[in-house]
Amino acid sequence: MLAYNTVWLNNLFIQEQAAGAFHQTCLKKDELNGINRHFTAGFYTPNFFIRIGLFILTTVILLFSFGLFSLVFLGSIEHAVGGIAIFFGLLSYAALEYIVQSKNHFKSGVDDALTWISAISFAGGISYLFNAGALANCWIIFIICVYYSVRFADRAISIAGYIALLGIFFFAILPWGVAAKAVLPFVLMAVSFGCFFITKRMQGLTKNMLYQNCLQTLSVSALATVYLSANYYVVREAGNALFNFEIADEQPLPFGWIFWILTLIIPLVYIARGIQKKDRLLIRLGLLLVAVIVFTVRYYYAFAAVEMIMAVGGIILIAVSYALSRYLRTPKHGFTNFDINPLAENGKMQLESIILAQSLSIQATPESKGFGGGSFGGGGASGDF
Amino acid sequence: MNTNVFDQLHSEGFISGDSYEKIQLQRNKALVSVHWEIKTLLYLGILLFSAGLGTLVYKNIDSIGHQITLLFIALVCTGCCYYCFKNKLPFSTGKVVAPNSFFDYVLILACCTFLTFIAYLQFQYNLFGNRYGLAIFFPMLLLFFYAYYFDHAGVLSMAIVNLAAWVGITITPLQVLTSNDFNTSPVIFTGIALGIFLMIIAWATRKMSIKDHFEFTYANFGTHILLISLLAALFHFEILNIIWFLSLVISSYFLYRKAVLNSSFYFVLVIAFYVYIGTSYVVLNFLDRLSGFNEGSLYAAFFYFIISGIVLALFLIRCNKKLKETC
Repeated sequence: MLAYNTVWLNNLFIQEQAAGAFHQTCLKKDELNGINRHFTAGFYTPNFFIRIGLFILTTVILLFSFGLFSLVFLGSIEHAVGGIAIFFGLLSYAALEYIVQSKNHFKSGVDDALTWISAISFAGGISYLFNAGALANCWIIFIICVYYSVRFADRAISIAGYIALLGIFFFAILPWGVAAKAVLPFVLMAVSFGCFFITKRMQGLTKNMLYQNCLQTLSVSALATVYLSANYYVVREAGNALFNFEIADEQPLPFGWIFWILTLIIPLVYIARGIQKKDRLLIRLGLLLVAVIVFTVRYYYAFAAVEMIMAVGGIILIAVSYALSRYLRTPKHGFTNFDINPLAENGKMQLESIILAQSLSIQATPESKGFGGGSFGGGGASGDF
Repeated sequence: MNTNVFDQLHSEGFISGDSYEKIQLQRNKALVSVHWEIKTLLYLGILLFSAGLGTLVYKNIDSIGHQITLLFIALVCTGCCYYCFKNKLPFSTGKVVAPNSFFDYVLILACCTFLTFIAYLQFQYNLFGNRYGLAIFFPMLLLFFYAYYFDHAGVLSMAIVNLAAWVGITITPLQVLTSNDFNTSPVIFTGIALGIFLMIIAWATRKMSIKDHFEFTYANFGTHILLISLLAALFHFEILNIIWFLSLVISSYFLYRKAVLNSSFYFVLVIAFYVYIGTSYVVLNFLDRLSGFNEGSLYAAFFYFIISGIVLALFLIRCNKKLKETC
């Protein structure tokens, strides 16, 4: 099913596992070398930065090729564009299969770009040809994404497919009117939870090993949408926007207490579950959602000024993280503050310093040097790319 | 860790019994590191706290009073500085690790509050009068000193940004294009000079082996500001176009040589794209002058992008191979 050489993918996985074990000083150097020599993978996978460059360039090449096709049919572009898009999708898909199977590209940037561009051209072309509505569009995207996920195991594509799946339920129920408004949050929650359950199950099976990354991303996205479809702010404001169901500003949502309880509890459940299961992704998601709680509550109940919340929240965060790092200095309950799997130390430091330069530094104020205002305007022709 | 893999490796004889037991032991302990989660929380906390406090003071300045505010900021600053001086490890020209994971953040807080303090003094009491440059110059000196003394690349970045602000350019990563008026020649020339200066410092850092790991920070800011300024010059000065294009290509060539020597994929990519933008501008400009905007020039432009894209992609693939060999 996978386009990539599965034996090599397996070998890569073994190499990664061995490297992890070596880092934790469980393996000896010559054992690691022996494993790396025996389980080889002949993929073409360039450095991460080169991958970015190849991704951008492949996209540029494809877009301008598409433009060239369109130029030829410029006179009748309105009738032809759907067909051109599908034809272009076929061409880039052929290129993708070729580059993956014959040239052994894997995460090279070229295959990433081709995957996305061909999928988008198929979806766009089909949608244009059939003049598809919202529901039909979701179906088209969903089907294409499922195929691409199975064939190329791309994480972002599988997320797009998952969102399209939610879209299918959403647009199918939407025409029900008032009933839809009551049912929709629960249906989306149920679908999300179902997806979480299924992906978790599939993750456990050995035959799905090569889809681990996709499944993990999917299960986390599913948990995120479980929360979002129950969040008070989302339910109330989306409901208002979609059904023109004017709830006055002060008036609470009918049965709002259900959503308030869910809004407040789900993130805490995630964190608790994450700690219990030692699942870092779950903990991270929970922490992120705690911030969403603060935002939601603050939106409806202005119990304090924003800056007050920021300052106090900041102090709490500092205190909690300080206490945690103290508490976990020696590992407890299977958690540690020790960095088990560090990136290259230098890379992290540089990344940190760039973030710092962005978030905490001063800028040259035009007044201070007597320059006039004005913005960057000299782009000229190159402003497009 | 995945046990199946290691069971298989063990039974096939790739792993000795000794190592296999270690792995089993490690697995049963199943330690999970929350190092980065804690660090992120801490960083967020500091960011929220300083931003919130800043706004709080700004809104209530009437009831609090300037002296008290200043005093408070000064107290936080001195407190943090005291902590840093007390806990630091001895200075060396090599890399010095922080005594604990908290240290870095206390140092950053010290620097931030110091910057606020000076800005406050200048804004409220006009400490440096109309010599605005001094209000940036003194904090800059202190930041450079702290960066070297406590060995902190983040503080060094802040110092370099300050240095740029002192000469009149904004180089915070996301504002570098929007906050500068690259249509005026003073900004362009300052940018070029600053870029060259930073590259020289980067070179000297490596050469004299003083805090080797700072080289990247200097080179990063230097490369971007130099090449952006040269591009701006190319767009701005229409008459001597070709000279600016040549200087872009020549300086890129030197930067590229250096990047290959250091086997830095990042710099190779960045430089390649700056040259690509410059070349594309020159080609499009040429097409425009040749025949103006018509179907022929449109086709030519499209063909240019397709062919140049392929050429550059092949170049990157070759670079990747070359750099991997030297790694």
